[in-house]
Amino acid sequence: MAAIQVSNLTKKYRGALNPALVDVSLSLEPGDVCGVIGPNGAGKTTLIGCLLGFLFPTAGTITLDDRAPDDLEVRRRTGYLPERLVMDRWMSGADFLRYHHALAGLPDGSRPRDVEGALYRVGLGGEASQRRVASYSRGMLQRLGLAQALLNQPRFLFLDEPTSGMDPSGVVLFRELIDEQRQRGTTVLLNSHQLDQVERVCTRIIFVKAGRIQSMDTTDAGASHQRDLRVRLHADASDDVVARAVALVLPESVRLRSRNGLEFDYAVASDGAAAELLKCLIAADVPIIEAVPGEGRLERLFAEPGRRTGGNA
Amino acid sequence: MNRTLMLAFWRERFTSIIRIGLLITVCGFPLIGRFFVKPVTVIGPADIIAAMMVLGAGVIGRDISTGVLQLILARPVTRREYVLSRWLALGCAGFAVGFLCWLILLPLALSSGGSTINHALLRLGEIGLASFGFAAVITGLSSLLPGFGDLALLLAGVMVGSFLSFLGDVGKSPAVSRIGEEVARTLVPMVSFGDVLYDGTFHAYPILAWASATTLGLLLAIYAMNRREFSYGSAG
Amino acid sequence: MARPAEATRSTPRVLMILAAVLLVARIVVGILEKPAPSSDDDAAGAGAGHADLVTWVSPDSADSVAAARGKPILYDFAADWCGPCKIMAREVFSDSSTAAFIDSSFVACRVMDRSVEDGKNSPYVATLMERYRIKSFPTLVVNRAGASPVIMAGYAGKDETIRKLRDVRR
Repeated sequence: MAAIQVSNLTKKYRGALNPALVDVSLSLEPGDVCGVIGPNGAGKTTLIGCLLGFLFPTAGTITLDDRAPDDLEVRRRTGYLPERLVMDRWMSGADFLRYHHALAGLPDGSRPRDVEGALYRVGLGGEASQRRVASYSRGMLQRLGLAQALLNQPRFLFLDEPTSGMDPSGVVLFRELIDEQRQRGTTVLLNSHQLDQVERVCTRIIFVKAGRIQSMDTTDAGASHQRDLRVRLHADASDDVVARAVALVLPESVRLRSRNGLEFDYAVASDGAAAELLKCLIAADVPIIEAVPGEGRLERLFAEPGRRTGGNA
Repeated sequence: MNRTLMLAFWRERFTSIIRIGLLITVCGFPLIGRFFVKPVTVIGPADIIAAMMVLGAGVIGRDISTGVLQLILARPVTRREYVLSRWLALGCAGFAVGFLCWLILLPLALSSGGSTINHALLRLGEIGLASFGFAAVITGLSSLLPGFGDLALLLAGVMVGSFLSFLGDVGKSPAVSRIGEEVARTLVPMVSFGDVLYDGTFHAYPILAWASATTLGLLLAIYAMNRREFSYGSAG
Repeated sequence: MARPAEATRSTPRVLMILAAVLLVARIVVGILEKPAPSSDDDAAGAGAGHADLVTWVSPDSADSVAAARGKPILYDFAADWCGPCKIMAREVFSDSSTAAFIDSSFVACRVMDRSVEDGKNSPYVATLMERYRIKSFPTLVVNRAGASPVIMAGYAGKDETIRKLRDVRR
């Protein structure tokens, strides 16, 4: 039994000309971390809304552990972080988590311990937990939101732009938390425009456009993600230099995709591989004037036909 | 009823400086005025309506427009549980404010002969019924529109009722007048025990009207909430 | 096929039935029952006024209630068709301080004449009207134990009426 099963889901808002989702089908197993990417208005938030039972499908079915999305038992096992976390201004961080701990139906006796543990886990322990949330930065709010979503040790986790506003340490924390959830067997579905983060944490990636799933990939979460690196040589580089660069023995997990004059497009498997490539080129006396990341694998999905994006034209 | 939701409502309402300021204004000044009208009497149900509006405005609609409601409904909280908890919390809050105002005036009202203890207790009962009845109406209206649209609907409804009453009077049509009265009675459900017991006999209608308006308000709220979709992109 | 849900979106059947029953009862009783007086001059029933605040007892129980409380009975003889009755009710009986005074000083009993509408009065009403020789409305009668009744025919205005009632109680 799939943890999340979506079959032929179509959703058309009242009064809208076109449906927001068209014939979407999806099956996620326990432990899957599914990233949903796509341009604005693609239907990503609508998909999450349908899975949470906030939106009612026009056609098709959705089940979570063979239950309807608005089933109370599903709610007990759900964690949700909306794109914009709103809370009552009178609350402190600890108040907010206590509130949600109670709403989740968790035992009163475990509340102080659970709340304190959750706050420390996301780096909001101590003095920060007693401050009013109105004084929190965007990143702190996101951390608090993550803590809230994980309070009930969910079986289903829905995250909408989870790393928005987070500093690098917050992003690292986010990756750790998702990895923990994946190992626990939680089924995670997240929307994000931060494609590098999606590639790093997700085991499945769905590209949604105009309400339809355009592509669905399986990835190795945490594995290094391939991207392009465009290297431009100095304008005065001689033909010998160019030939030397072409013939260079490349490090592992680097390959030359194409060359256009003094511009070399490499496919590199990781940041480490990119660094190795540059070292090799410099060691070979190749005069590099510029090295910029080109389109990542996921960015290419967003490119319109005939238009190059990323790097220098 | 969900105790967590109710406690959160009370904390949110009674720590809002704006709402407290408005409560002091709508309750305090009339209260002070009563001290100068001899003899002093305790307040009645009509005196707490303004306070109820201050406390109740946006009771559901505000949660909808701010996005707070989605986070609540992602929890194992049924929509009717949410509605009934908001209603009960609002009714209790309104009654608490009314009780406080009643209590402040009680000693002077009794000593000046303005109210007897029976009269005062009847007024307190009327205040309680008005609190929960009007809370149900606000809850129902608030479920229909986001933000503070409930106040707009309430105002529109009261104006319709008044207009119908006026039309009935002008056109000598008791039926139309009566419809106008019923609209007003439904939007601001109150019971006057004088109306129940006037003429020495028991009259059930005022209590039935109050109970009907209260249950209809709650049913409307639950029905509207059950049908409502929540999305950044939906029409609501 | 999804298992049956413990749904988050369900309408309590009890509330639906209750609301329907109450609505029907409200409509039926509202049509059948004489409405309580309102501030409208055209409203049916003496005692028209914005919420008559006096606690009235029925004519057949006035004697026993008065004996139990040790208070005189204040009869308000009135009729539905009587305009001054409605004015007096609005100005005197709907005034909270006056109503409180009346409740504390008397056992108030409203006696409605139905001879115009029904052709005759109930035996108890007829007896009372004959006893006090009621010829016009409104007429206030204060019946004190061991003293002759005080009869105030007609409505002389709010202040005069209240003054007379206070005088009777001294």
